[in-house]
Amino acid sequence: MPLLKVSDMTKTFGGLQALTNLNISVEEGEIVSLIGPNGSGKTTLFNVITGVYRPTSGRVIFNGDDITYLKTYEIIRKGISRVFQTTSLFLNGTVLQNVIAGSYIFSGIRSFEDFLNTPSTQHKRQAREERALEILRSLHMVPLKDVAATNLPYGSQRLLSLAIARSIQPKLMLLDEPLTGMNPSEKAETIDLIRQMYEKDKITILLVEHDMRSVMDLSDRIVVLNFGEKIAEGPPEVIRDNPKVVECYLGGRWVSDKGRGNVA
Amino acid sequence: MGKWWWWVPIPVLFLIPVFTQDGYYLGIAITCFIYIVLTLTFMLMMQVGLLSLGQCAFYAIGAYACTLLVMKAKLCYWLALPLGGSITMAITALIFIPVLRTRGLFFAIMTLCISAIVAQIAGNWESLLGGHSGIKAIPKPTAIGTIDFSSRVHYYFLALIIMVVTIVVMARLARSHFGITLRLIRDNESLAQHVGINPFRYKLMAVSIASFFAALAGGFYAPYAKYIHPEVSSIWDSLYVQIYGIAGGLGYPIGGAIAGTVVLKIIPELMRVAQIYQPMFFGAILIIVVLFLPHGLVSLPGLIKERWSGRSERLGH
Repeated sequence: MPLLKVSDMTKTFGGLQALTNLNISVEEGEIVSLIGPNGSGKTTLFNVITGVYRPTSGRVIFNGDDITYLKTYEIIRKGISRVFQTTSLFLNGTVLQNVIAGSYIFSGIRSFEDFLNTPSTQHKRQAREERALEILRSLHMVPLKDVAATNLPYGSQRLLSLAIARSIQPKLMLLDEPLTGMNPSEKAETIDLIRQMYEKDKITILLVEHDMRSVMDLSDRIVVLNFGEKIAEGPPEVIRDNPKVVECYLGGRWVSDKGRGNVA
Repeated sequence: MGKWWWWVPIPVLFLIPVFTQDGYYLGIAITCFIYIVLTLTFMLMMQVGLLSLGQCAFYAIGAYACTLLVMKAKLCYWLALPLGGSITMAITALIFIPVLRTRGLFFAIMTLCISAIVAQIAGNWESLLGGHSGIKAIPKPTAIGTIDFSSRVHYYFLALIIMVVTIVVMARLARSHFGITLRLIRDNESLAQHVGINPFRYKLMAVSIASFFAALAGGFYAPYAKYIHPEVSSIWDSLYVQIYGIAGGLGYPIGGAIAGTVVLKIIPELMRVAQIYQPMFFGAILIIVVLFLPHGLVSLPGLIKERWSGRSERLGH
């Protein structure tokens, strides 16, 4: 049974067909990449999976449960986390507070208990903070822990949003263009982090990314979308040689030294 | 905020009646206490990003509920006070389930409307709520031993206790998991949902808790004034509460509420001799605060300290 199964998914916005009868499944322990030109429906698919949009028709099955019509926070509690395309952080909080916020579900802290400040809640708060520090340590961000998120440089903000998504302890993580706007060293660090989450935390990953070299490198399987439809699916080697994919997305020169896709 | 000296003024306030029993000063103090409670509840809602312009609606519902429980149901006042608060909480929760679907200024306008609607209902429901002439001759709170509420000092202590309880609860809420979560939602509601927070639940809880304490203040006001009328749910007073909060400093849910209310309530009071100019002074203070202290009155000591100690450091750069 696949961990995530999106079946016959259709989403229209007025007359615009954003997704058309899309079928995608992700097995546990896979890294699946979703590629396609801008506007091909990748982010819409993420929004449908996390309950931000309601699909026009179709189902989303996660881990055996139908999550199609659940609210966002309920879907997250089932074990899906998401990193947004545009960096989304708790900008008023510090780095540490952001990561702590990510462990909202797993900390098990109850409002009333915490209001009374019982020993058990103190213990949970301490455990939560230690875990958050551990995550920051793996990102080499401990020295920044008291910096306000809004004052971080862009690359660190992206990393921090990954750290929040990781501290949710999900089974499946949806990454929406995690490498955009990063310099090479930040890219390397992020890819390293994605690998770490995949190997150490056993998180299954569904990745949207335009950086072809990283996509080919990371993924077990690639799904190609165009105008809301799946036009190809398969392992990286196969996708690379698929004429339809090359035509609509990769272009002839994609294996140039820059390694970037020709994004229209 | 967690420093112990923050609590020093409270025993001092308990000792004030030893020095003066002047009804005028005690009256000002009592009004201050009530408005501090209302501003604190405003600040609680503000922490989750809900701008309320209808704090007095809760206050009025609480005043009417408590009075009816005492006069119609013949309950003991000390039972009616928290029960009135709970009834207000239930009514508020029902009203706000649909209202919380709105956001930002739309929400603010909704609360303003609720305030007006409460006044309309109170004004037109003659059989139960006494209509526009209100409910008169509200009995004193049930006597406890020698405390029979024959003197204003007794009311002073009751108002002070209600305020202290509210401050303690609000301070604890703001510092605990609940308050932290509220501020996460205000900061980034979409991300809050994506870490598993149910914003609706927290907003509803914040509004309900706010309404409970505002209703306690209302339940105090009814026997203190001996007379309640639809204008208790006054839009103007709700707007004042909002201004106290903003002037005090929205970033300081406790200190800001107290500082804003005390300064903006007492300074116009000192201008009593020239009553017609009172709103002018009020306006002037507000403009000065907004222009020069964007983080509110509470940030003033910090700014002064920074000027004093920061000068040498800045020269070093």
